[in-house]
Amino acid sequence: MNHFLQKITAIVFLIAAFSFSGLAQQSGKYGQVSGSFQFDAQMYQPDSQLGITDSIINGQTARMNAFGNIIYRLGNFSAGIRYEAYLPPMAGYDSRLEGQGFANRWARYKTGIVDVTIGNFYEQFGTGMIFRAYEEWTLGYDNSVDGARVILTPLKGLTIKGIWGTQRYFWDKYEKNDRGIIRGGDFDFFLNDLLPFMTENKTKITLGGGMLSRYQADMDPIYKLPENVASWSGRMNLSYGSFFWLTEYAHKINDPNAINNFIYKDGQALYSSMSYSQKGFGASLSMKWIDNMGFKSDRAVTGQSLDINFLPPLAKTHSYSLSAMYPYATQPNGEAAIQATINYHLPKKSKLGGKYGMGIEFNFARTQSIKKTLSSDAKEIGESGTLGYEADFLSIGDDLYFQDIGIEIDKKINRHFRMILSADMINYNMDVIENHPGEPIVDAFVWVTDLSYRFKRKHSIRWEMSQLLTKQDQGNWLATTIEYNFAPTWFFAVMDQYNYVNKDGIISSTNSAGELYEKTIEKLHYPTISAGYTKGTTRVSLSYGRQREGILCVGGVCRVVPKSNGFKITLTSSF
Amino acid sequence: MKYYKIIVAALLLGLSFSACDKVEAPYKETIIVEVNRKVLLEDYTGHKCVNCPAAHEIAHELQEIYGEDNLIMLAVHAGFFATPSAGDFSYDFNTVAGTEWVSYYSVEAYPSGMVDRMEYNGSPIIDKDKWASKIDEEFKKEASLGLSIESSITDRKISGDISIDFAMDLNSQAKIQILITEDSLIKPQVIPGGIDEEYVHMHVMRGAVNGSWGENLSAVSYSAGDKETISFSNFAMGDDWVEKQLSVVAFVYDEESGVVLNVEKKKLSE
Repeated sequence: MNHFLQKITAIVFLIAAFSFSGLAQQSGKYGQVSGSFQFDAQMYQPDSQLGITDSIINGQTARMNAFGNIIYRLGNFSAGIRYEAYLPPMAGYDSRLEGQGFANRWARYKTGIVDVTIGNFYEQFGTGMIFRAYEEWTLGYDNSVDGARVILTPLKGLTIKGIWGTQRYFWDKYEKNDRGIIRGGDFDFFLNDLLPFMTENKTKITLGGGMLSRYQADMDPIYKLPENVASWSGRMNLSYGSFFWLTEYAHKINDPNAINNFIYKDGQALYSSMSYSQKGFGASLSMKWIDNMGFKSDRAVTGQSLDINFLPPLAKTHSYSLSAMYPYATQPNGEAAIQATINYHLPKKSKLGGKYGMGIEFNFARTQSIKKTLSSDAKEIGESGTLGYEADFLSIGDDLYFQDIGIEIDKKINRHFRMILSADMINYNMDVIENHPGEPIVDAFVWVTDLSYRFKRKHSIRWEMSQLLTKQDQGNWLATTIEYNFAPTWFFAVMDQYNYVNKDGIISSTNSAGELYEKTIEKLHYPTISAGYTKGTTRVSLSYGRQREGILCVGGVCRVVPKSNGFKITLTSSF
Repeated sequence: MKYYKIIVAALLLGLSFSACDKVEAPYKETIIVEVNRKVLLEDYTGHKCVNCPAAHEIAHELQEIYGEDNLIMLAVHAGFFATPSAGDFSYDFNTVAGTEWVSYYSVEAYPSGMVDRMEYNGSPIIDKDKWASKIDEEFKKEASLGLSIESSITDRKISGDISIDFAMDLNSQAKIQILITEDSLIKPQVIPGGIDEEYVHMHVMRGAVNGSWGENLSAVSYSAGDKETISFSNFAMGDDWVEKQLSVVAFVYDEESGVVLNVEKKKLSE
C-alpha cells in the first residue's frame, strides 16, 4: 500500500509539473515571471548482491530532491525565490539537507551604473580562488551568500563589486558566532576602454584584483586564532586575435583551520591558462600551483559546505561512464597541476578526413604534490599550532596525485553514420584523493566506442561500448549502452556495466609502503533501462536498475554516489 | 559624480584590506581553566576512519588541559567506519547503544562528537575542531547535581551504586545512563598513511548497563540538597574485557532536551 501511494504521488507530481510548465511567460506592465523546476525521486529496494538490506533502507524506500526557482522582473527591478525540498535527501546527499522551505530569496535593482542585490546571491571574483559562491544541484551543493552585493560600473571598462554577508549552511539560519561573516571587493579594468590609445588596439587587456576577508570570533581556548582572515588576488586577462591568456595569483594570510590541521602558514596559489584557436585547430595549456588555500566561512568545518573560494580543477571532464570512474578532486592543502589539450579537425577530402573530415583531440593532465619541508617550529609537517611547513613557490613534490593521457577521435563516416573512439590512461592516487590510506595508485586504461546511426530524419540509434582495465581497486569493467532516439521527444536506452574484476575475482597488489593488498570482489552486473520524453522546455526521464558506487565530481568538487537498486524519476522544466 | 562612486568603491575595498589579523608565535593561548562541573565528550569513531586518530589527539589534549577526571571521554565505535571486515579490522567494537545513538542522532561525518549532548544549530553533533570551545563553555556552567560511583566485580559480573546529590532544584524528568568503558585496547586503526596495527584505543564504550537510553530517576522533581541512589547488579562482562582496564561512567540527563546535567567516571579496579 505504501509503495502504491508513493507511485500515485509521483504521478500526480508529474502531472502538476507539466501543468506548471505550460504557463507562458507573463509579461507586460505588471512585469514578467520566469522560473525553472526540477524534481528527482528514487525508490530504493533491497539487493542482497549489493549488500543493500531492508535495515539499510530503514523504511525510507522513497527519497526526493526538488527545487523551484521563481523570478519576477519589472523594468530595472527583479526578485526571486528558490524553494527546495529534500524529503528525505536521496542517498549520497548530505543528510543535513533534509527539510523543505525557501532556501533563497532576493531582490535586485540594476541600472546602467548601479546593480544592487539584497538577500541571497551568487558571485565570483576572477577564477574564484579567493571567492566563489555557486550552486551545483547534482552535488547538493550551495554556498550562496545571504547579505548584500553592489556592482558599480562608473566608467565604461571599469567594474567594481562589493559583497557582504554569511554563507548558506544547509538549513541553519545564521546565528551570532556560529560561522563567519564574509566581506570583500573586486575590480576589473578593461584597459582598451579606459585608455584612449588602446581603444583600437588588437591586444585586449583586462586587469583585475580582489580582496575577501572573513570574520569569525575566536572561541577556542587552546589556539590564538585570527578573527579576521583576508585573502587577495591579482589577475590579468590578455587576448590577441584568437590567442587568450589568463593568469591569477592569490594569497591568503594565516588561517588555521580544520582542513590544514590548524597551521599558521600563509597560503598562495597561481593559475595560468592560455589558449589559441583557429578554424580546425585549437590548443590550450593551463597550469596551477596551490599551497594551503582551503578557505571556509567556518574554520572548524570540513567537507563540502561553507567554501568561500573555489580552486579550479585541471583535468578533463569525461562524459562516458567508465572514463569518468576515477575523477580528480582538488587538494586544497597543496597540488601542482598542468593540463594541455589539442583539437585538430582533419579537413574534408583529406586522406584521413574523408568526405566529412575528422576531429582529433589529445588531452594530457597531471597533478602532483608540492614540495614541503619542515618549518623551524614544527616537529612534523603539518603539526597543529605551528607554521606547519615551508614550501617554495612553484615547487613540485614527488607524489603523483593524478594523470590522464587521452585521445578522442570523432569521425562522420557518411550522412547516417558517426563514430567516436576514445582511449585514456589514468593514474589515480586513491590514498590522497579519496583519503584511503594504504590504497595503491590505480592505473587504469579505458577505451570507448560510440557509434550512432541516423536512419530517418528524426530516428537514430546509438551503441556505446567501453572497457576499463585495471589491476587495482575493483578490477576490470565492461559497459555497453544501446539508445534509441526519436528526436526531439523520446529516447529509450538499455545499459549494463559489468564489473568482471579479472579471471579469479581477486585483486592483489602492493602499495607504496610495500604492503600486500588482497581482496575478493564479487563479479556483478549493473543493468539499467531508461526512457525519456521532452516537450518544449520540459523533460522527464525514468530509469530502473542498479547504480554502481562511484564518485561524482563537478569542477573538482565531488560527492560519493552510493550503490543502489530501484526506480528513478527526473523531471526538469522551465517557463 | 564619477569620482564619488570610485571613492565609495575604494573605501569598500579598503575596508576589506583592513580586516586582516596576523598572529605571531606562540600560537597557543595561556589557558585559564575554569571547572565548575564535569563534562561528557562523546567521540563517534571507528577503526576504519582515517581522520579519527586526529580527533583522539584533540580529546587527549583537552583532557590534559581540563583534567582526565573532569573531561570524561566516551569513544563510541559505531556506524560505517566501525563495521568489522575480514583482515585487520575483524574486531567488533560495536555496541547496541552506540548503534542506536548513531542512528538517532544521524551521525554520518566522522569523526564527530557531542559535548554534554548540547544542541548547537539544531544538532548536538559537533566537528572535532569545535569541541574545545564548546567544552570550555560547558565547564563554566554551574553543576545542578553531583554524582559518585561505587562498584565491584564478582565472577566477571559488575555491580554498583550511583549516588546523586542535587545542588539545585530539578523540575523535569531526568534519566540516568550507566555505561562501562575500557581503556588500552590494542587493535588496528587506520591512520594517515596506512594502518597502525598496535593502536591503543582509549575510553571504548563496551556496553550500556541500563539500556541505550538509561532509566528514569524515581521522582520528576527534586530540591537542592536531595539525594538519590541508583543501584545495578550482575552486569556481565564480555569475554575479552580486561578487568583492570574497565571503568563505570554514569551521567544524568534531562529527558526532554537530552542535555547531560553532569557525569562521573570511576575505574572498577580502584
